[in-house]
Amino acid sequence: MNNRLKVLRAERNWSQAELGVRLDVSRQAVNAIETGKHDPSLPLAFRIARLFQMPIEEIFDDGHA
Amino acid sequence: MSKFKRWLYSPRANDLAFAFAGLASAALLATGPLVRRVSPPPFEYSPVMGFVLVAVIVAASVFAAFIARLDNRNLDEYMFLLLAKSALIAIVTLIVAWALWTALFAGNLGDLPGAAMMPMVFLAWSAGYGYTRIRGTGPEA
Repeated sequence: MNNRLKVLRAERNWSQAELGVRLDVSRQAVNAIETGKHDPSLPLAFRIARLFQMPIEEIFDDGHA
Repeated sequence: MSKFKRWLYSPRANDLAFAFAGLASAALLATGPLVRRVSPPPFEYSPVMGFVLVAVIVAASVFAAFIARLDNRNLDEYMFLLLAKSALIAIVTLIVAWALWTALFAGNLGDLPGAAMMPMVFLAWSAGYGYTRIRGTGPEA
């Protein structure tokens, strides 16, 4: 699944560790999501959407839109 | 969550633990101290033995479920999925390795000693952890 997490994080000048703290996950988890090695669960996807104040489908793209 | 507990459940601590467990298990299996150990005489099967074995496995599975619940609560979802997927890889690895050994090598090299089971489990789990850490937790990995 593709996502815009890295771009959104960069726009806010946040490090992966900083974003991890805001989402209550490890830096490695943020890195895995950004590189497409891990698809976040629905609760985590909602937390990400709330943090960036955007709809989930504007952050994640499952290729079926 | 305390600082120690946070470190205990961190990816770095898991990386270190699996690297150590994998290397130590590979060294144990490769150098053979388990094989040289004097083996106890084989047990005669009895219904009591079978009953005790089933009871021990059921009790251990309840304990394991409790540990898994603790991990699920304290690890973030990426780390928990990483551990779970690598454990699945380890189980299949063990079944296939045991079957291959029995079919191809046991005749010439002998049966695997029971004492080799634990290092085999840790080596297979560490290999699965390393693979999943590199490739990821997704279905395409």
